[in-house]
Amino acid sequence: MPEVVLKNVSKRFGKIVAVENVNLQIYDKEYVSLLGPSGCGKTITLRLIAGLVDPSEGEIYIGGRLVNKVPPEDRGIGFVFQTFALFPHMSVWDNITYGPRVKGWNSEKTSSVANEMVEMVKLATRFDAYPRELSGGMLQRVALARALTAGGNLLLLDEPLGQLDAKIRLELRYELRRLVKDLGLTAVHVTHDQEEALTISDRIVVMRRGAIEQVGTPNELYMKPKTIFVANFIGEANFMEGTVAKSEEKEIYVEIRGGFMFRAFEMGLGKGEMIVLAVRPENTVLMRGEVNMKNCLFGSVESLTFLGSLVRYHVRLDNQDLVVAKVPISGNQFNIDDRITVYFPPENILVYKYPEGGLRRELELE
Amino acid sequence: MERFEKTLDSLSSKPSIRYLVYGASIVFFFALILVPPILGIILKWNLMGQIFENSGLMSRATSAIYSSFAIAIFVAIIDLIFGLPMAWFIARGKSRWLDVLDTFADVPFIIPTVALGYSLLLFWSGSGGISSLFGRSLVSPGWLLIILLHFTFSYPVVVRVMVGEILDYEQVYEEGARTSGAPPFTAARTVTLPILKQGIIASFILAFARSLSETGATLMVAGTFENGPIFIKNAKDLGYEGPLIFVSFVLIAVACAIFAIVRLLGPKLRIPVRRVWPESERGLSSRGVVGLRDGTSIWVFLILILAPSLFVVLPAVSALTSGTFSQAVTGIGMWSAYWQSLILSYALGAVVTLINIIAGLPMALLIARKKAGKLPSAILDILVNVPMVLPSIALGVSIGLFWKNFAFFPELGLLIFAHLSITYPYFVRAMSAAIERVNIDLEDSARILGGRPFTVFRTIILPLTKYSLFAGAIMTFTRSVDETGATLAVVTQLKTAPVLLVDWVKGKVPVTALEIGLGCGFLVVFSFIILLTLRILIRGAHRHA
Repeated sequence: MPEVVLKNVSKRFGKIVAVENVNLQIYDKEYVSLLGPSGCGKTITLRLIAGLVDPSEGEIYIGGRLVNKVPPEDRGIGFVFQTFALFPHMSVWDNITYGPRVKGWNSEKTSSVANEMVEMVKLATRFDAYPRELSGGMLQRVALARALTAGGNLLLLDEPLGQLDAKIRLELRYELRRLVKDLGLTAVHVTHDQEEALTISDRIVVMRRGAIEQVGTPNELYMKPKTIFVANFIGEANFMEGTVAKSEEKEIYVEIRGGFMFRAFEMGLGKGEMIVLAVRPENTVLMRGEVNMKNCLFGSVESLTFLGSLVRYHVRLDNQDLVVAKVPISGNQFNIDDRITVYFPPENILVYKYPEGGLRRELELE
Repeated sequence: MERFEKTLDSLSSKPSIRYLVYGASIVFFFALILVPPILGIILKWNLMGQIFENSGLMSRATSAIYSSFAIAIFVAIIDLIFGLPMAWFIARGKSRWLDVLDTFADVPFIIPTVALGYSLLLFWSGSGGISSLFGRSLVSPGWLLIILLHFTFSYPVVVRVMVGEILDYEQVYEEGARTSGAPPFTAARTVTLPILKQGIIASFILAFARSLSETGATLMVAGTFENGPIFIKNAKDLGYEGPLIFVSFVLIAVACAIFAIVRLLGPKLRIPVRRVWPESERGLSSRGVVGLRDGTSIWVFLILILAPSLFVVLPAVSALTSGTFSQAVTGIGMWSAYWQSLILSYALGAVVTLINIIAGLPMALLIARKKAGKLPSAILDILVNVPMVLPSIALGVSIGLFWKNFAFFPELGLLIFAHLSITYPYFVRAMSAAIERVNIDLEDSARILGGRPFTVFRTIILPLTKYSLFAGAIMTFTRSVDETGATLAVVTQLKTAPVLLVDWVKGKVPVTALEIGLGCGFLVVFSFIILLTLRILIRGAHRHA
């Protein structure tokens, strides 16, 4: 069944490298997101799977079959485009039944499949309406029904929710996942919205500059981001640069700017090595006054924002760095200009080797 | 200059001045462009009866009219049959040679039509052309040669329009079809071509109108065959005023009717998309069939379009080495008339272009920005196209008749008016389309920032549409230099270059093939130099824009 495998796949347009040496395995009936900032190669990867662009190198397998030379119409896929691409000169019904018609199914089979899909996507509209008469949400459902009716087990979605209003987007997000699971499809979903990817996917493929940065479940990506980029792109993090001062069996001591000493759990780093520490705002602890402890820095509250169940604080440290902390509304709260101690619990500190191009470049989102 | 601009800027704030400018452009359009070509004939309605008394002439006239429309429709259809695959190949192909092919597809555009006609005459029926391969004249002058000629000069129109359409088309629709399971042929037939229907209709109308209108080159290759324009020309030479008016009237009326029908029914015409034949269409999408299609398109282009178009180079080049060339440049004998006609042609083209720019810009604004209200602007938009579909010789006849009502009217004036009518639509269409593409928010924000209407036009619209302005000017100019039909209809003394060359080919003046070849050659070279210069200017303007 539709398991998708990409082996050493690259795509170049002239001198521009769009996708470089991508290796990826998507399992049968899995919902996978390709996530990354614009220009990271995620859409090209999807189009490579669909056969809309040919790889410059590498092999693509769908359901165990090498499909490099197979045209899109024979790959057994459904594709939902960001702009929906509904045929403007055809009615809703003709759009939905386009796949079966061009494949030569008989009209009975066509209608029954199309009706089933129309029900699945909860499309309630006149079938003789034309795309220009429909709202965004409706168009999305028609596009989805058309892709599903085409009969493939592999559903490819290119930013399918990108053109919709925020509210409809949230609603359709869950429906999309339910639909894929109910029909037992394999889905590959391209998005630049990390929240969408986290809520919808079984696994997420984070891409950057044409290459895969990390593949994992939403939980893995959030809790154990392998790179500084992923830590920054998925969720939020405070980053600090430092040098390893002491390396022990299970932990290291890190000296950061201003001479402060931090303890973190990490192995295999040598003394004197440059590293970057990252802590999520919700794992950053705030305490009133100046508390002298390991892993603590001092500063004052610069601004605060209520986020409902959480309060988000911007703390200006004495070394002028800015730290973000999220404190549950039930916890201790502070006022602007309050003197504060910021505590980074060692078990929540993520440790990375100092990136070659510098920390700032690693945090760029292009 | 700056003070002049300032004055215009502040004048443009006065509503009365704006009304005056727009009003004048509308009056200009109706009084000089639209009404004379139609009214001239209607005023002479009474003379039309003459032809009904002469059954021989009548049957000649009807068969000429019939030939004109039959040829125009047939040519427009084969243009689509061969031009569409070629356009597809150029727009979608991946070969490096496509740029070369694309450029060569324009060759028949660049060559003035009379030179093209002579080139085809030599190629298909002259003793030194392709006939020498077969030992006899392959296609003698007559209707078949007319069809070949019309195919040659209208084919680039279809290719040019359709390449643009296919490039502008959002391929995502086709991708939607492909990912739904449609092979390439089915996707093109059921999705892409129906979406491009408007462009296909437009290119059909253009090719049809070009074929219906062309006179000069057609005269060269017609032999004794008569189509509408040739009948008019012959009738004029013989002084048969009634038959001439009759045929002009019928050509104009039927052309208008066909144009209106296509325009009204075209959008309703549905390309059948529901039925699909999966197996055979899959076959048509196969590599072999596509290769065959591309190959056929290229060979048709090379053999039927490119080779005959360029054939005039041969006599022109051999004339260079013989004494003909030195005779020509020194202007001996009939060459002095030749140079005079060439100067007249280019001067006329320049004057007409200039007037069109001045009178056409306000009209383009009126249409693009709907300044006269929604419906009137839409009506103007349709009316502006009318002179384009009228057979040019019939249009010339009517213009001549109209202005001759005003006592003494100089022939040069008639010539200018006829050429204005014919070229005006090309300029206004190009400009109004370009202005429509400029986001109106830009104009509004310029106004809100304090720009007066003319300032906005000068600093926002003009720089953003400069490319189209040049392109429109080029079209106007070349169309005028090329024009034969209307010219023949209105002149008795003056001769433009194409008219003179037609006389040469028709044997009105004793000339040799080398001399005609050289005459055509000069025309081609000068037109080419002018086009090239303008193109370079445009490139520069485009880059700075």
